Amino acid sequence: MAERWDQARVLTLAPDASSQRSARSLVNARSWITTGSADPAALWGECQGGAAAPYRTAVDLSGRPAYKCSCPSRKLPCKHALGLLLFWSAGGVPPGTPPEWVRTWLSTRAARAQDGKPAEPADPEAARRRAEQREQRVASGLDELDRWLCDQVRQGLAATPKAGYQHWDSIAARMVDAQASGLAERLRSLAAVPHSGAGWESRLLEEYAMLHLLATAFRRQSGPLDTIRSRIGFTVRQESVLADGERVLDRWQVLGRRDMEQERMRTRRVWLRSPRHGRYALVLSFAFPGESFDGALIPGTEADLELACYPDRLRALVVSNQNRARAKPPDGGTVADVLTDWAQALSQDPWLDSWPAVLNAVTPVRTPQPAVCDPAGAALPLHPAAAANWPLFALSAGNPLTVAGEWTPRGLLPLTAWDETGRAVVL
Amino acid sequence: MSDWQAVLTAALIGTERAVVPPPPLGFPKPEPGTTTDPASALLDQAALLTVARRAGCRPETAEPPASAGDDPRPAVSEAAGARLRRILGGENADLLHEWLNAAVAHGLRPPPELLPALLDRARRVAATNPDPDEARLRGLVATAGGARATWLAGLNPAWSWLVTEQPAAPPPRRLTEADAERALALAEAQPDINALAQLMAAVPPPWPARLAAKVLTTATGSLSRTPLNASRVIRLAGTRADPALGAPGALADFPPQAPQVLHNMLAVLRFRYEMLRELDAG
Repeated sequence: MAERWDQARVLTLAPDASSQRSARSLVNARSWITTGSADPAALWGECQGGAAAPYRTAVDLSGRPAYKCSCPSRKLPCKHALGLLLFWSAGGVPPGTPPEWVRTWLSTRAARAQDGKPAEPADPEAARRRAEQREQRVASGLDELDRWLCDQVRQGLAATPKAGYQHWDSIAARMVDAQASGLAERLRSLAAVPHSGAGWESRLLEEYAMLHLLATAFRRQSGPLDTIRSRIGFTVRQESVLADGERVLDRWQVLGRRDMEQERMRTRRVWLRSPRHGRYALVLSFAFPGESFDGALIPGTEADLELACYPDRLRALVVSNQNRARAKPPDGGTVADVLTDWAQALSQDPWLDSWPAVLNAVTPVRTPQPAVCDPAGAALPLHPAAAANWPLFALSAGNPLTVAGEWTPRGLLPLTAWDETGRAVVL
Repeated sequence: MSDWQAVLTAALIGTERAVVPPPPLGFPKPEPGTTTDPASALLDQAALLTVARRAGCRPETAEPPASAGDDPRPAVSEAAGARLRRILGGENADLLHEWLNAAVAHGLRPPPELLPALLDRARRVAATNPDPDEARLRGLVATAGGARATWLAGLNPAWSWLVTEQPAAPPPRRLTEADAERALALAEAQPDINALAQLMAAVPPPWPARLAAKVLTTATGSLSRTPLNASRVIRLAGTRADPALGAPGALADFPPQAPQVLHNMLAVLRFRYEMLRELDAG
């Protein structure tokens, strides 16, 4: 059997966050009637699911990962395949002799590979039909969303704070049905806006307006289509990014990281920049409670990274990571430079809600509001969530610092700061 | 009224009752002859204004504050700073006093980014705390934090005690050789663990090896009968025994079947040895 993968690598195969969660519940001997692994890279198991007969799950890791499962799920890999992989990763799957049904599947795959036919999709016609169906579902889902948005504005937003979270949850559930999961997440997060303090009215209208713009852009099929589709929830599979995505081999500086908690899963965003090309990249990783993130990208360091980029040319996967070293403070700009950069980024993607900001020689101030100001006296307010970032103030004590963070419509989220000696501090 | 305010007001009232304001100057106008849903037209305008407002965001103005001034003391080593972060994070949290005492004694300053956590920790204890170590904490943090801590306290009302009380740390209590001999005599004469617990709580560090060994022997012998007080004394030995006992090779590991509290005591001793070595190195 091939070398065991670590959990993080297995999790990169998951089609979405919820399959990661359900797969986790299968990482125990109770869930599996039988499991086994065999050379060169096959895994199988019988899982007691909801149906009377156990689901038969198999995974082939020789070459691009392939999956087979008798469950009705349309996700690929399904939670059983993913759960089996995680169980294997945790050392729970013993070596064995593949049963008949696994041998048949493996030999069919091998025969196909020899014929030079792609193993997947099994039926290109069916795959095309499925893709077409999804487009239609999403399109009618977005029409429905747009009608809902117009209804909100027709009736007036003034009464919104009285609505419970169900107000957004039901339209979010409709977007899940329409296979537009990106919109569903966004809509669910809106329930917090009416309780987010002064100015909530503006923030809610902005959100509704930008969703309306997204629906309109998709209907007209105009604008930055890759961005539009990814915001709606058309995910690009990691394996296709690894296979077909643009590869960039460069010296990358790790600017900063930001951990976020959504439902029960934590997401880590790591911002990278190539000093030579001035280009940014964003690497996402995921962890469940009790798990730690892969700590390979440390703010304040630099390394030779090979990245495989998503179509938006920002999000990326790390393919290889070598020669890590402590880095000098990054070259940044003034407050005006950050805002110019942000405006430029918005012109490519008007839905952006954050963009990396690197500032040299800024001093954190408390008055008139928590902010960082540059030598010219121009200031960027801190995000309300960062107003009490006392370590930033303590590090500065009234002296200028280099600060890397995310600029958002609500203010700056500082992530890393460098003191006068060039030492990096994660904030 | 700004363009955004006009659109926002209409959206709050609702287009059933409010009139959609005309598009702002420079915005695309609806094609003549087409009738759009007013709600949709309002959202169109709001979207354009949202992006325009975000992209056109102007910097605020502010003046840099007065600097805290230079702290002439050298910074603790990176390893010592990392260990303080662990202690503040809850790992062997009761060793905070010892870390700060050693840093002050060596004339070193803690990493500035940890000052807020130190000030928060000291905020929660009053000078009237019955525990003598805790009662000293505010003064200890003020001394270790130096001018920068005072500067910070001026920004956050939660730390105003630093400015109003101006606490100073009296030198830490240290066990003299004569007192150590007396304590050893008392400990040898005291087979009752409950009385010993009370007695040893008042004996400041560093307990010499003979005193620590005596106390540990009595406590280990009583572990099965009075586990609560015996464990308390064993833990105390870990934090107060001479840290040289935590040096590599100074003490052998306990056998695996030994009570957990003994393993923990040894781990604390070794943690302290490393901790003080990092601060010695400067």
